[in-house]
Amino acid sequence: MFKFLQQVGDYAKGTVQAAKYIGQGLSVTFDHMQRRPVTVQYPYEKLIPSERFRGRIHFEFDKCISCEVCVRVCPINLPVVDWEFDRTSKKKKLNHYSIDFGVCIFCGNCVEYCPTNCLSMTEEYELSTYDRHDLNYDNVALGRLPYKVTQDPMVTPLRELAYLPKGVSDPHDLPAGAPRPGKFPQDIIEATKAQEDSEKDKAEAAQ
Amino acid sequence: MPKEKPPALEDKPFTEFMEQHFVPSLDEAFADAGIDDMSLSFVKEPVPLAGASSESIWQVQGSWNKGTYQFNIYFPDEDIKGQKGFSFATNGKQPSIFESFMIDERRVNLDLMVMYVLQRINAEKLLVRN
Repeated sequence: MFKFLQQVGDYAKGTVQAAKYIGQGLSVTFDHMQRRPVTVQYPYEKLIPSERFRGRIHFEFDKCISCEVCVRVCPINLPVVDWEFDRTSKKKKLNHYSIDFGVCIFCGNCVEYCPTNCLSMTEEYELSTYDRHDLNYDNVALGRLPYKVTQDPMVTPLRELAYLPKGVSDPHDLPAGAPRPGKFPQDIIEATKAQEDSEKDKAEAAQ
Repeated sequence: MPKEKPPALEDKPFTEFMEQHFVPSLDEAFADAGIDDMSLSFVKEPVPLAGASSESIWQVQGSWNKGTYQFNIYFPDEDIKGQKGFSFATNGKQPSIFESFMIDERRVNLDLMVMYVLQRINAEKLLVRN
């Protein structure tokens, strides 16, 4: 006669279980209320790329000696170095140079190995075109000055999290000159120099 | 007896070398490259850049395509082995930067100087199309 109680108990259990699962599922949603905002209102706000950002490659025609090291270290032999041997002056004469950024993976090997430093990485990352062949940059396009988010008057540059002051998670409305938590390379060099000097003084005093 | 070599062109006095050898062979090289109306002159004039001193220095001025393109090669030391500069401009405008010219080249001779001028102009895609 108490069989219906069994059914009531099962129903109650199921309700509790369902409530628990809904809570578990929504916990991720509610967790986001604690997290820092990462949204950037893109065309109006842009993040400042970090120091080692590998963007579009800059090329200086006059420095290039047509050695083709960039081609050899490239995973897919991408740079096109069009040179010819000038018989009268016994010199390689560079005619054209191009890199197709539709194919480039921005590994930076060419920049790393260029013996005359005529290749360099820029902060430019907005490489979108309607035609993929527009991304095949010739030496004139490669030699143009790169776009910088900090120099665009239409854009509010925002710092990435690692460059924000300690305890700040929102890059908006930062006071000017707010320092980042980490040290800059020049600060580290200064600190190590001071430490070496003090150690030297100590050793001299001990002698 | 070994034949005595004629003295190198590059050892001639600066102005003589420029007027009699560099400018004519540069003209010839540009004609070979397909520029017919290249006008070259070797003059002593102030550098036409903003902020430059009014001191006159020797320079080779070239312009072609009815003056659409101009370039200047500067020799402030009056010596081809000394410092050299380059500037390029279009449509009769004032050039914006003073570039170094043959800065990494230890050997300086007539052929190399001509080759580097042509290479520099070619870098602007003005001699050959892509």
